[in-house]
Amino acid sequence: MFGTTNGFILFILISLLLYYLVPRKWQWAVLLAASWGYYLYTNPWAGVFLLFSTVVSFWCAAVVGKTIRDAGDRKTGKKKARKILLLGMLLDFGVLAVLKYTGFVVLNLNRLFHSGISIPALLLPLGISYYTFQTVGYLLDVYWGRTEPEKNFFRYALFVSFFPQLIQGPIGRYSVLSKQFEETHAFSLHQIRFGLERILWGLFKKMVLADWAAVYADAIFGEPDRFSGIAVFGLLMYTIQLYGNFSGGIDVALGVASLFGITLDENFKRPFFAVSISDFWTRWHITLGTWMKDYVMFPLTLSKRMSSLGKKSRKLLGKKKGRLIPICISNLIVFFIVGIWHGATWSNIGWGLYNGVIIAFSSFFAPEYETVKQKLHINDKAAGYRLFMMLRTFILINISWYFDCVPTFGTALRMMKYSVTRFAPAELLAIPAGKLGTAYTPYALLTLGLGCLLLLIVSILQERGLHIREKMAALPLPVEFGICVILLICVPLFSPMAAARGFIYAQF
Amino acid sequence: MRSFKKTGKALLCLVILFVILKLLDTALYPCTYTRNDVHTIATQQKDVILLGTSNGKMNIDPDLLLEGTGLSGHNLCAGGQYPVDAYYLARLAVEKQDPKMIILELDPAYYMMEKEPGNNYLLFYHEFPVSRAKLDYTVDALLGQDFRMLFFPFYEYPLSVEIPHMKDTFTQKVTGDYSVERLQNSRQAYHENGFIEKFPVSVENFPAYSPSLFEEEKVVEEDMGYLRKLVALCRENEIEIAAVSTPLPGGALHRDQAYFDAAWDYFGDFFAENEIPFYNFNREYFDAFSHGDDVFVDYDGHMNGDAARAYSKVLGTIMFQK
Repeated sequence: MFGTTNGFILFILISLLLYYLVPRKWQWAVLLAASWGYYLYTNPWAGVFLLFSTVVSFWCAAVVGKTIRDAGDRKTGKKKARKILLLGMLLDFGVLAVLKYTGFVVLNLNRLFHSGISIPALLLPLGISYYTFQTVGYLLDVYWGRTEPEKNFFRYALFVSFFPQLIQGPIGRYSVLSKQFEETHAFSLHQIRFGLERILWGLFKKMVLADWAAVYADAIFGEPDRFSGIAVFGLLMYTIQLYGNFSGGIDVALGVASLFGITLDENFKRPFFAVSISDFWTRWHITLGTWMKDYVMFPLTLSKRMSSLGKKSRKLLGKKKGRLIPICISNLIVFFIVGIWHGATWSNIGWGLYNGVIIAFSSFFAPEYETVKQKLHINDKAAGYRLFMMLRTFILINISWYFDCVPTFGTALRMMKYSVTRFAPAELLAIPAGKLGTAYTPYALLTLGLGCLLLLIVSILQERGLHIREKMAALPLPVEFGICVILLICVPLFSPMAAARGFIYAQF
Repeated sequence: MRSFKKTGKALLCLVILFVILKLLDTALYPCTYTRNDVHTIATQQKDVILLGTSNGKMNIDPDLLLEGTGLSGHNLCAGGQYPVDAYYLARLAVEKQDPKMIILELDPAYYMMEKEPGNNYLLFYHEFPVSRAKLDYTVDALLGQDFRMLFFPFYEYPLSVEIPHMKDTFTQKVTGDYSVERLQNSRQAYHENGFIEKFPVSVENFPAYSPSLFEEEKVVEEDMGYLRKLVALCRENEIEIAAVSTPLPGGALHRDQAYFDAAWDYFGDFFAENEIPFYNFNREYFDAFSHGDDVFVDYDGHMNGDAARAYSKVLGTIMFQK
């Protein structure tokens, strides 16, 4: 398992040793060997798909680049290269679509036509949703002239397969990573220390917060009718689980990459301080959000069809409102894709569209909001107003998780109903929280509460611009070391006494 | 010079961390009977070693089993001992001493379940002294496990239970105290030869019975692989090996007769193919010992102390033709 097994620690140690011992010009080759070794060890059969995606995108980008270059004029070149670009995208997305969505399509066809087509049991290669987005992003970057096609296949293969980010992101950009892979990296204790601290923080979030919260979330959402009186509590637990699990996993990924001197893009920026849903999406799964913005939203909004739609809507609704229509429609399409990226279920599509509708609605009525605020003399920057906005966003986000944490749309609606019609906190005691049963409930809740408080304090400090690790590095060594040791010991002492659960976002 | 100083500081930090973890482990990881068992086979010569599950632990007293044979023995069985653990315990025994015979108590259920992560691994692994067997056990079974098991083994035990015993635990470990008095409780007594004596329980107080019933298609190949490895290890080291299925309550046997028959067929064939004597007290040797409820403390087949002693004598008579 990524990040939490003894084998993974040993693998990192060996990779690090080799990385800093080989001549520096070969460091990237060590990373490539480690990445492929790791992937083939965890998914021997899935290497074929990773290789296919790598070869296809490398070759297509090379042809696209050459076609544009040979044409002399960029516009003509792009026209000529378009077919190759589409072929590359079709092949890349095609594999993802077949493996991830065939079951969903067949299931719905069966429902629609009452047919009995058997649903193929296709296994999803680990990390396919992440590396497919990376390869398609690279192809588009080459096509748009944002980056030159890579000449060395193996260097490109490293970009696609770099193991810390392969399993659950962040979704990397070629322009950011390729430079770092080309550079040489001297061994730096400072860098190693930073990396280890980041890993430690990630493990704390994952194993103490997320794994404890999961005990409750799983129980409540596993039997929604039995625990109907604590549906809201279950939802809050799911929020903690999801955030702790995903952001903890990303911290581990960023920390591991940092041990090798590689800086990956941040994927989280204190999402629960967001003041609107669109703000939330600039703080939560940031690399997916920016990918969608750069490769779907902008091209879609600026497309010919959207331009003509914009013209029509401006005629119909006036200049101000009319120009917002293409943006709103693009938002809905983007969030439909975001929803289906998260999983081939109607619940996920509903969750995506829910976000899209709120953002579209907010954009469309933004001028009216402004007017109301002015009339009510509301100061945007006042702490109270910001707090209200944060709370409002938090509630809206939490409502969206209903679609995410239960298997069916109907159950999500039922849970929503329970949340506002039933309240029986005593039901909490019926959830066995530890090996010895309910006696652990107060202990588990106290651990969770204190852990969340620590997370909140750290987040507030970070939101105020404090760089905690830099501050820690400035402390006397024994103090910094002491803080790390305490955190390190807290992870096993206060995590649930069971095997670590997997990383939720590793299943995409 | 500056870099040397920095590296020195980093190494010092690692050493301090190691010491802290060792102290926590010494104080918070409890002294289990497996600690005594493993210590015994790592430090004393025993001719016969019993491996297997809780049924073996509670039903076979090695002293009575080997009475009159001039052989010494130790019961190394334990609840939660899967074939992987049995194999590495045998490896440790072979590495540290010169056993003449291994008796494997067989519970078919253990061959159809993946070993659950966590405590079950630690129970045995944690007590292994530094050895080749421990290294191989680590590589083979521990690498895929949660890092907390290797670096923070105390995480599996609740602080609320362990903190009050911290001083005792620490003292016992530091002074190398392996006395058995601390391993007794109101329900059972642990003996130096590894046998656990269960105190009698009346039938109406038997705990609920929910057995894992044997089905050949559910047999885990990895488990059978370790059983084969154990047989091969014995052959390589010229160690005699025998298998035993201790008596089960008649009611339980009757209730799930078909499943038990499937298990005895499967393992009977395996042991026959490998020319290993299999003393099955639930089939071939059914009449050699009582299957009445009064012999047991539960429907899983754990006997009370007196019955276990009587059974051990019977087993010894049959096995060693006394």
